[in-house]
Amino acid sequence: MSRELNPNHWVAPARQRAAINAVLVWSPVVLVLAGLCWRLGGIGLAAAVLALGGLALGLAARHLASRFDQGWLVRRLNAREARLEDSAGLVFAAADLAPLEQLQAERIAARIEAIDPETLADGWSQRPIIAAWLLGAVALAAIILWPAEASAPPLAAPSQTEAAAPGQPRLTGQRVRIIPPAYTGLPARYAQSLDIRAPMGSRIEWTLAFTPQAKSAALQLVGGQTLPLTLGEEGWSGSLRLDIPSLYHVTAEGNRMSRTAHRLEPITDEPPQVQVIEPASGLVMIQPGQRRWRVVFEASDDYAVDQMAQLTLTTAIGEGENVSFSERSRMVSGTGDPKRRRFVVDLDLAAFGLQPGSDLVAQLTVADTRAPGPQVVRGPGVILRWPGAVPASADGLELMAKQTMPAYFRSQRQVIIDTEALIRERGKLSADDFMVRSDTIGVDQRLLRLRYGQFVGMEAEEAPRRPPLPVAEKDAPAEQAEGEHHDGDGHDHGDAPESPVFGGLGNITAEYGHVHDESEAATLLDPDTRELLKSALDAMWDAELNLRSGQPEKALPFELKALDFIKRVQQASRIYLPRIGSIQPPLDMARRMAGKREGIVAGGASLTPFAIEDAVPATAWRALSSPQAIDLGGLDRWVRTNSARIRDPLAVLAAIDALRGDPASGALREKLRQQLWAVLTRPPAQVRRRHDGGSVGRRYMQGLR
Amino acid sequence: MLSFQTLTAVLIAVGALAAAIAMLWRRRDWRVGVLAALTLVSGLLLYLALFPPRLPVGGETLVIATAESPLTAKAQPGERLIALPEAPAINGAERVPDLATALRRHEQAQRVRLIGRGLTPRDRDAAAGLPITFTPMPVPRGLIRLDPPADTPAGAIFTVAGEANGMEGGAAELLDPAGRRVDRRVIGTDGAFAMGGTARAPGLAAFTLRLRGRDGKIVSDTPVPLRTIAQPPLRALLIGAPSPEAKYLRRWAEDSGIALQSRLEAGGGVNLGGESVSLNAATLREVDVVIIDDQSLGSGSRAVLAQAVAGGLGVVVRMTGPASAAARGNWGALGLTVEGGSEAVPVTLSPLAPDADTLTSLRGPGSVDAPASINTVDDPAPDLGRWAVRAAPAFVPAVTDADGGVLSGWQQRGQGRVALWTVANSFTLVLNGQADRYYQWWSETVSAVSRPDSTFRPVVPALPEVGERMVICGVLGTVRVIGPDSTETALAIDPLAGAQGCAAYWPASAGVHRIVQPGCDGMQEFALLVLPKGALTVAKAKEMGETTRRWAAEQNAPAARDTPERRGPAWPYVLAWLLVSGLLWLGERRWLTRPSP
Repeated sequence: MSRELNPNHWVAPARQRAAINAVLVWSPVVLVLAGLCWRLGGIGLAAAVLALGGLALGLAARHLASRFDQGWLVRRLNAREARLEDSAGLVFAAADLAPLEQLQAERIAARIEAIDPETLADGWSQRPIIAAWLLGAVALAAIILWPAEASAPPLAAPSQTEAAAPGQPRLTGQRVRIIPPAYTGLPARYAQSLDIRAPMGSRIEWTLAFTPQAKSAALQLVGGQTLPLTLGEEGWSGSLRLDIPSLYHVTAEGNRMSRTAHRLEPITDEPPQVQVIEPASGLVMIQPGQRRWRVVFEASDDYAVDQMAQLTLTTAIGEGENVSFSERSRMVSGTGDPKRRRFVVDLDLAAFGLQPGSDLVAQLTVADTRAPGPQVVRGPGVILRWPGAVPASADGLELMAKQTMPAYFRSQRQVIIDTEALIRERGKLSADDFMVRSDTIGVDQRLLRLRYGQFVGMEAEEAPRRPPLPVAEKDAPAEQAEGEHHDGDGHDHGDAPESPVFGGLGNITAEYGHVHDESEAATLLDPDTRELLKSALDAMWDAELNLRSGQPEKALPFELKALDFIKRVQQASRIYLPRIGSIQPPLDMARRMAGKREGIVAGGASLTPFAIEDAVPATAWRALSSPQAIDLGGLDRWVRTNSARIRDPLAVLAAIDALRGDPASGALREKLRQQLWAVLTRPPAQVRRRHDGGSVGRRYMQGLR
Repeated sequence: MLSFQTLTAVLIAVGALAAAIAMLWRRRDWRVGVLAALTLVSGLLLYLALFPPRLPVGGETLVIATAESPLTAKAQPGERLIALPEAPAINGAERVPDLATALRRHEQAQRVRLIGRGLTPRDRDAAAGLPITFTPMPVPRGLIRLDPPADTPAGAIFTVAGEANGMEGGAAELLDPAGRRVDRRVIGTDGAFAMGGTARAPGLAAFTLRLRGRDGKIVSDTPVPLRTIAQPPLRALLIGAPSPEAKYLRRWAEDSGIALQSRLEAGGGVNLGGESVSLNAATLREVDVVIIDDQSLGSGSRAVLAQAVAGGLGVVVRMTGPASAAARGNWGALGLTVEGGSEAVPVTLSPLAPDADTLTSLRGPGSVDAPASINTVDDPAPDLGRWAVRAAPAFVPAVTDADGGVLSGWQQRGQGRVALWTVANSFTLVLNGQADRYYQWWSETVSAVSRPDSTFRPVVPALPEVGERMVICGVLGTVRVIGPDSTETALAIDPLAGAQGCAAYWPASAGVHRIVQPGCDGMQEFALLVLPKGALTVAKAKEMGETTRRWAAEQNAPAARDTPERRGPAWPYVLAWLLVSGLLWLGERRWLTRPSP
């Protein structure tokens, strides 16, 4: 019975699987090899490699499979199945067995028969297979997509044949290679003609061939330098960095007839554009309970936007004058196509400490990838506003009082803060610095005093000036006499006596005293408030005096007192401001225009004539219509100066250059004239007088009468 | 009146009858009867020999091949194929130099059938004297009508209109001399289109009308001449109260080269205009146009102005408020009869341009003071109002708004014209960035009325083509035409044209030709553009077909059939008459001279 068990039946699945495993693991290697050969040596080599590889693979698989023999089977059976009692070898033994052995073999054979041969085979080696195929696919893709080493194309025939006398070098081949700057990401390319339009900063390489061979050749830039060409293997070559638009000629020694101007036209790199995608409007009101704020910017550029952009976040917290600003910036990275990147910002509002009446401004600064010197553009800002408390409904004068006063009555606190800070820093400062800073605060105090003074009727005695430097003050002794009353010190001395007349009561206040208000302004404040304000002004005056003499400690009590007064003024019930101007007396029609009127019209109404900016091209336009000489040099200069206004200055320059080469040519004159049309300014519509019809028409019109 | 023919007939008949009766009188037998009969027959034949009868109907038909005739054209039985010089080389066709030669050579022809595109003006000059059948060929695809702009003032807007056949869905483009597109219109079902551009400095410029098919391919490029004549500066007088309108009118006048005097009365004898101008006949003779506001048009100035208008002066009356009956009476004295004018209606403004590009090319390059970017096509138009006037038929609108409301119009009086400007606040156009429109309106109004001048301006065809005869009128003396290659041709003025002073000219080359005529101060020049041959092929083909059809219809008309009669050949009758006469002679000799037995 044992003889009936064929070991091959048990080994076959294992052999099969081992072979397939081997083939699967190693076949990508063969494919990649074949691919490489196809890329390098062509399809025939690839086929040969594929066939050889396949053969080798088959042999190897067979060899591998052959390792699964009877011995392996016995070992595997014994290892796998405990119930075989390590006696599987007996079943497949070739030699005769002892009876006991035979008995055991029969017992075991029955058990072996119950085993599925498939279960004996090794498992699929999944990981190596997947890894091999993945690597193989990547390698194949790389082989297929690897850019072909572009070989320079042969010289092309010139697009326009140049006229040349026999024996003179004539341009017979041309090749222009344009290498755009690396940051543009554009591939190098070959231009079809000698007219070149390429990104600014590109490198242009010319290779030109002449028949017969020229002694030397050059590129002559119109109105500029000459670029000599060097003779190489293929012909004359030279290169240039394209920065400014210009025209050039190809010149070869001995050939004077090449007059065609070719264009060199750089395409300028536009700065990036930023636009806000979300939110839809520039000002957004905060929603109750809003925790996060999402802002989406989109930046676009003609080549690429830098992936990193700077986000500036400005918070303005507070109301009125008491607003504190803080600015922080951070980098955000964009996603998407480099030409059109999106920057998504999700802000956690808790971090900004917003309160009612504060703004959060987000602004994105993007750069493009231009090298050198990326172009940086600051985009539009979007504002998130937390509206402040609506001011209590007020109307009429109350409204004005409430809205106007706080703006004036606040900076006294700032003066106090500055003074305190100065006192604290006293030890660290030199005496001069201390003096200067104290004096600066004093100037601030003075400006404030002048402002308040307006409310009690002080005229703007001195226009508020910039804080003067102490050096200047030492040179100006008049300033030191400020303690005294003098003209324009903020209060009224009455009119200066014009002609003292004996016995006249005169203006006593002008001579002996002064009033600190004026009649019209007196209606501004009620007497109590005015008293308070005056006290505040007095305190300010003392504070200023001490500050300017470098004693901030002494000034501080006065400052605090002034602040106190001001707070009380702020709480005062009403402040009246005149809303309308004075009422004019009625016109006396009898006296109207009764005076002298000679010479009241100064110079009549003379108008500045329209400056004709295009006088040069207009003159040339007219001159070109008839065969007369024109000033090409002047026209050339004019076009170069005004090139910013003209849409295509190179076309005009090319026409000028062509005409310069052959001034008598009617066709070239006509061409230049046509180009000039686009340059001419449109004058205001003029008047066309109708024709009188000649003698016939005149007679007819007279006959009508 | 007896005609010669009738007289001859009567004489012959009387002679023959008398001879026959005389014979019969002498003797009466059958022989004499025969002779008498022969006498009558001989008389009849004599008459016929003298006046041969018309040939019976059913003669030859001439098939005349003109331009674009099919090469396969063949003569049917009873037809003869003749080719004019324009016809292609058709086998078996007889080539003739013109139609008259063909008709002369083939007098037996009874009718003419024309094939091909049609006859040139050379062959249409005279009547053919034969019925002519002609069916025009279908008009080819392309430009069939082109209305080039008339003389355009510098800086003004001009219009090019035209019509294209079979081009629906295609586009018409107007290219400026530098080759940039100025305007573009999609061609609709009717094929008509109108485009606009702006003129620049004085001179002759060649625009291009480009037709593109539905697929964007270029169908044709046709040159369109634009002529701007340089004229001596206009002398204008502005009278009125100081106002923004006066301010911007002065600005326009200053900028567009008008020699302006102004009298701006601020009241109390204060004149802000600078010059002290008084309105009298002597002043007004030196002025081409007076712009006066209706308040300043008092009874004193009215009479002087009315007299000056009759002498050629132009007056623009500017309305500043609703018209009263008195104001209308004032205008009537100037020769301006309008009704209404007391009601203000809004002015409808058309957009400055269909799109931003077109606006840019209309405006031209900007200046430092007014960059091109300062006003865009999207800027809102100002609200303008006009006083609605009802005018007599003699009132010619000069400027109308988009709805056809009259903004200004004029009326002739004597040799001068008086215009009425009905927009009260037109200066707001300037304030709203539409100064171009303001200038254009005033340019059109003032151009319509200003005193005529006698700038050298010959009358020439709008679109002359190379090799075609053209007529130049309005020239006198020794006139020359200078071609684009500086060849000079002296013009011979046709004495028959009389005072019009016309001369014919055959341009030999395309390009700008200049007509030069000596004037009182130096040479006067006038440029005209001669189009290259074939520039207007389609339009000419259509015109040729239509004119030939009309001409052929005239030949078929009954009046045309009363042409001189065509007599048949006389020789058969002469022979017959000789025979009969011979027989008669023999018979008489044998039977009458010999006494009968």
